[in-house]
Amino acid sequence: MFVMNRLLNIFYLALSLVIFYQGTSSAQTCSATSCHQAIIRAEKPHAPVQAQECLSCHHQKKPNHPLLGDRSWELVAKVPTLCNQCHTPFGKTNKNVMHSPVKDGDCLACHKPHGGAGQFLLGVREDRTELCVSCHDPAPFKQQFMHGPVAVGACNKCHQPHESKEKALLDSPVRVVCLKCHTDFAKDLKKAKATHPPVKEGPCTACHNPHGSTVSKILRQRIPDLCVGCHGTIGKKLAGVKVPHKPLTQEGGCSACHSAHYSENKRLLPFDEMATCLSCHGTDNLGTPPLRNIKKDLDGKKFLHGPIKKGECVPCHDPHGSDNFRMLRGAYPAEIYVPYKEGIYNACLGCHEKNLLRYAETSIYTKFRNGKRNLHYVHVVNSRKSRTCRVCHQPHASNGDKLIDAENMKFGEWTIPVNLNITSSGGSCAPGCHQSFRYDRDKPVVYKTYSTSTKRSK
Amino acid sequence: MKSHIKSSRNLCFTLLTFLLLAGCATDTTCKYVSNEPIFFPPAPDEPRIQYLTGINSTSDIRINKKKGGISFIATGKEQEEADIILGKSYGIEVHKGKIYVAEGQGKTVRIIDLKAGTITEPKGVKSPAGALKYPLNLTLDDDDNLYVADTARRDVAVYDAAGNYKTSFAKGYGKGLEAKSKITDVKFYKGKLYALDLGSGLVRVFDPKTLEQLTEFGKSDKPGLSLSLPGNFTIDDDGFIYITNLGSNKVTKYDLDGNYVGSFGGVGDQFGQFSKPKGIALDPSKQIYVVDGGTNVVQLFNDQFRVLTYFGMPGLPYGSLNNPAGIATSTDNIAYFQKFAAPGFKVTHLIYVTSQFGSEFCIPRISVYGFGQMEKK
Repeated sequence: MFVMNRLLNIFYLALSLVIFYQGTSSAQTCSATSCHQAIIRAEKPHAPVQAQECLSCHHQKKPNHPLLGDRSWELVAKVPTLCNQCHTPFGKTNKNVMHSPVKDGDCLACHKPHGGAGQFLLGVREDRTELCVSCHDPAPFKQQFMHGPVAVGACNKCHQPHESKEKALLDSPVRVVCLKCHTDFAKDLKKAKATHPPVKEGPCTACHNPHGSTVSKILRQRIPDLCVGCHGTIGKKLAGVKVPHKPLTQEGGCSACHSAHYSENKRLLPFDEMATCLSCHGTDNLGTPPLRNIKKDLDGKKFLHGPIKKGECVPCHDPHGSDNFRMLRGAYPAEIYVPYKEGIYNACLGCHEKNLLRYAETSIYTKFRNGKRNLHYVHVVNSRKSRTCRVCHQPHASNGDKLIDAENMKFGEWTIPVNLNITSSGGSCAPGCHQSFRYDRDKPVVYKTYSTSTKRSK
Repeated sequence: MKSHIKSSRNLCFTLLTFLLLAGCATDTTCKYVSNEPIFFPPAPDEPRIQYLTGINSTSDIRINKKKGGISFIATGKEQEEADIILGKSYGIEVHKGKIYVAEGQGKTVRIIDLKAGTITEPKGVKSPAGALKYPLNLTLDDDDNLYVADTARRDVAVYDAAGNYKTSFAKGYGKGLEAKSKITDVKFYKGKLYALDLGSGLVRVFDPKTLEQLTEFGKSDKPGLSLSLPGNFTIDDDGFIYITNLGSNKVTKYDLDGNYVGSFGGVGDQFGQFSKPKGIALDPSKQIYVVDGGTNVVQLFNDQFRVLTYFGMPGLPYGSLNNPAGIATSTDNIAYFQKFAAPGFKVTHLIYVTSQFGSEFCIPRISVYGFGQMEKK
């Protein structure tokens, strides 16, 4: 019996020791045993975990562990107070834009407390897409055209995860964020003579979607819709224009002629005005049938049309489009012969003497006259067959004065002779159109077929 | 002895009083400069025109003019120089800084030289052939030849740059129109002379070398496009002619070929209407100034014929006109007249207007206005 009692006491003592030992086990034992080994296996463990200092964060509230259906350990404080014991708390500076979980003190929304696969106790590696889209709408991150950092899930290249002074938790103002990576762009931008105002002053996001877009260059809209959002006047014009400039209707849109960001030239053109136009209109195969190669028309010519002399095309042509033939700024017939009506040559008479065709007789509005008989009027003001200006004058350049090209006037397939001879008081003309005629302003020539008493028609 | 001294003292006082009175007597009783600025349009509108001063006689322009009788006594010279007082005048023109006035009443042309402070006349007007009878308007060409339209001589008298009478023209042209013809105004423009024939209702164009008539215009088959008692005209730098018509009370615009371009006005006393349109002038910005003798104002129009403002109306302390006739604008002499402008009012060009009457009410023969604006602070 005594022996039995001794054995029973030894058993109770042993049992007590086991229980006591278990109840007071140290932190090292959490991971040393098979129970919590997985915790320390994280690729990037939390520093206290790595040091196996579980008691930094946890403390035992009940003696027995584990407990079935209960917890015998708890955190030493609630999150984020617990985290702030070691980490500097957020919201203490002037960075007043806070990530929603940070604001709510929910550090564990993003961070794994013991360790994660990536840095900063995150459950993801460098590609953080999975983590971010667990809260954020994934749609912007699955576009046809993606911003590089978004495509690789480097959200933190632009955004701060906790707090920021900038909207959308950006690291810095939008332009600064963008130019941190786009350094070549920043360098050229500083040197540029002309800069698109949104680029100069505004955020890049005015035109670009920073995450992704269905439009190339991650633009917010396709061109020209994007451009006309600000350039409304041009937008209105394009909406109703009869003859649009073809590039505007094609893939490149406005950017076919304009640089969207900066340029060395006016109007953000890639080259000076004429070089920009001739970059397309200086070839033989533009359009079907091909448009004239203007570069060939100009090369080596002795006389240039006034605007061209100044390197300008836009005084006559509206580069975006117009309701007129050849995108001219004013009316001008598409056919070489048309019934004359007042106003059909406004494209030319906007600059040239507006009364040129108004009076059958004049001494002031043209030098092409016989006495006072206005020979421009004779050729053009004809209700059946008005000869358009280009019948006699080249629109761009010629080797003859008054843009009358003695060698290159085309009449269908015939290079028609002109034989114009200008004198101090008049001249003579023997073109393929009619017999030779002379005219003189001071001593009018008397023609058999013309009476000098002819009065003006109105 | 005492009485001798006393009589000497009395004599001295008498002499002094006489001299003082004599000195005062040379001073004009009319003053043409206002102490307070007279602006058109008046406040609260932004001032664009200011009445500056008037010219009525030599005393208004004389250099080193001393004010007060004592100065005159001291020099004594001014008393010897008789003031030339302008008579009833009509046409006025500014050429190379000098102001030329057709003084019908005095049968002469007055040449006002502000730099010299003198008023002279071409010596040719004293010659028998060059004597004027009733000069109405005048003009000068690039060689300083002076052309004077004289309605009593019924021709245009020509004087060379030295003032010598050369010749006359515009007399006896046309067929059967001599009796009707009456040249009232003349202009030189780009190598041609344009004469306005009130009697025939025509603009006649002459070759200044041969003085032969080249062409004429002003009549139209279409109603309302013909001249109607044209009295005065001007030509702008683009070659458009603006003519005041006493018959229709309109200003009509033609090109140099005589093509009708447009018109404005009409009879009445409202803005933009006329009751006796006379002199007409253009300023450097192509604004049109039309003198209306009936309402005693000058109306100002833009180049689209829209009325902008008016000035010179009766009843003002200074700056009123009385039966105004001729008008000229010029950028010459701005420095001379700027001193009469209100502080801060920068004159860009001057407007000279002749008044035919009103000297008894201290309205000068020539009223000078400055067009400009207040300088921004």
